Amino acid sequence: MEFFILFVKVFIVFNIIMGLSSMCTWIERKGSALIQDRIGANRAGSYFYTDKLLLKPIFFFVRIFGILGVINTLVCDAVKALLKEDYVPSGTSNFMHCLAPFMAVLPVFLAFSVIPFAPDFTLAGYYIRPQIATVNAGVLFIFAMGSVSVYGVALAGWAGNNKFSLLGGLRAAAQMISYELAMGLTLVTMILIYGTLDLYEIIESQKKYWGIIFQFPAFIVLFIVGMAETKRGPFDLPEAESELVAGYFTEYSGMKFLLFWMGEFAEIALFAILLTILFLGGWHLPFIELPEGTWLSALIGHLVFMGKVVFFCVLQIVIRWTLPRFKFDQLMSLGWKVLLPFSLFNLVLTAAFILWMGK
Amino acid sequence: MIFQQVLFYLLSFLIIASALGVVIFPCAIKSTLCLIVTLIGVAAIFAMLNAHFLVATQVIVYAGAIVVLVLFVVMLLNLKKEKLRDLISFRSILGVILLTSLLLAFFPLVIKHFPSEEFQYVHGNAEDLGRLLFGKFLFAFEIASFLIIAALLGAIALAQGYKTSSLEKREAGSGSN
Amino acid sequence: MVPISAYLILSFVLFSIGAIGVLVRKNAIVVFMCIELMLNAVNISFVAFSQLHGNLDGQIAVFFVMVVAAAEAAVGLAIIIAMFRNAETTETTDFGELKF
Repeated sequence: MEFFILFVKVFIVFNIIMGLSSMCTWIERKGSALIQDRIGANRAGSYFYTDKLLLKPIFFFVRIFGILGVINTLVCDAVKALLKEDYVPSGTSNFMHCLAPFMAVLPVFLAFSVIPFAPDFTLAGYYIRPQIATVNAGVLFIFAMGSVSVYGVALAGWAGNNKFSLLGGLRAAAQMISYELAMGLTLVTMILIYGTLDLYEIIESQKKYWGIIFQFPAFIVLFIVGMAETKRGPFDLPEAESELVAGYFTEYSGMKFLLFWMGEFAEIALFAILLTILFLGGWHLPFIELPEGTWLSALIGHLVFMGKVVFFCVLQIVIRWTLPRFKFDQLMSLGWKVLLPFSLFNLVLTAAFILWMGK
Repeated sequence: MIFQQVLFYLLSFLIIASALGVVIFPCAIKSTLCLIVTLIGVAAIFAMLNAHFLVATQVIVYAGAIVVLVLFVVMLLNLKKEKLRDLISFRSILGVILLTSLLLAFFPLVIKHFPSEEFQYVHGNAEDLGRLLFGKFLFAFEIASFLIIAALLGAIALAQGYKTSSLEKREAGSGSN
Repeated sequence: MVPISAYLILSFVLFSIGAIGVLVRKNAIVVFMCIELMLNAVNISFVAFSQLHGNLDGQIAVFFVMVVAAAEAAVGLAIIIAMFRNAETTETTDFGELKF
């Protein structure tokens, strides 16, 4: 029975990951279109029409989704990517070219296994915690997965067998490891405040006051670092579409390219979840106290959690399409000279404050 | 119980196979990839031994930082492959024979000395490790931080010293011409 | 239950593979990676012994071994890069003499 519950949990979490990254893809396409004052994709599926009266409602909904661009993004892009020719450039090892998208996506998916999606509840006599792996050091595990995801980028740059993608890959890897330092220091600051590394306990200790009230600067720093780690937003020089051809993506087409995209959106969702758990109180609403332990409160908590995550995803996508991108030396100097001393100063100040207050 | 034993043998097979891969592959990048697999396998062994904080530290420090640095160096230097035939020489065969005999001589000693003692469960979580680190081992902790600063300065000096020396060589070369 | 001698044998085998790698390979970077293998073997045996004695001192030792390995990685790789730029090769057999 325990294994069955585990399988159900894994299935649900996998669906959540896929759902979040698909939703982010769609928001990216349609949202970017709206921000740039154009309409975006709205053709596929918008011409469905039928004369049979019974099928009319179904076709109506399909038309609505088509006009919103959902069918175009989710169905047509996927089919196109699956049917494209899958080539490997000559001169590089086939194995490494195929391994790189795998290594870019796997750590992100693994990091979702320590995230609690809803409060505990008891269902038919079983005490269920909606977290696949209840490890003691959950925050550190997410940080470790962020460290390992550098390899996918570096290998993708190398497997392209030309100087442009190698340069793009090494730049991206250097950017990611530079911003990991500021992320680590910010995480340590939040761990100091909550006193535990376990993600479930962190959410539980935010019942009264959300974390953002205590540490607003750390929130800003972690938000910026999250956008830099996923190479999004104003930090997307490695995958810049107008320079360096496509950076380290250059030699990838079809499903491998889509795997990179999916990993990137899953990482956006991961950072949104991290921000929600550490700063926004997880599933706690500000003034409402829910009864614990029932499956209804778990469902409500889950919906609140997902709402906050979606808010952060949309915020990251909107910022990406609003701000111009940094140059590489500005990027690195921001990471090393601004964010690192600032988060270090923040950490020392927080530690001194906690010692002084004595709690 | 059986699950633990099966898991241990699978993990040790993975670790030893990828360690052999580090040694055997002539291409430097494949060796690096095998090293990553070995390090993550060792992290899994730490998890089996209840050292949870060390699992995360191993992945972050070793597999996430040190091997990334090695990968950078390998990619930037753009090395050619070694030839497998060069690996087999008198020196290497002698080394393999010596080490294998040393290894085989130690097996019965180890098995005799630690027959099958029961483990005492110690949970290596961050709080207890932190208490020890800042209590009993505080001096070693401070020395370690000095070591890291010294290594940092050393690496910067090595990277920069080259630039000035090559500049002098070029100027000397153009001066003599 | 896995006996502790199994962990120790694993640590031994990993250490000897690393030592064989240091002796056999000529590329300086691969030699460095085999040194990391040896350090990891020692880490496994430290953690196994800490579990045996019920003490956390072994895990602190692993922590310090990792610190030393990180410092050694930085300096060692900087030396390798300097070597390469002076002599255009990283084979250890080409650095037998003390002057170029």
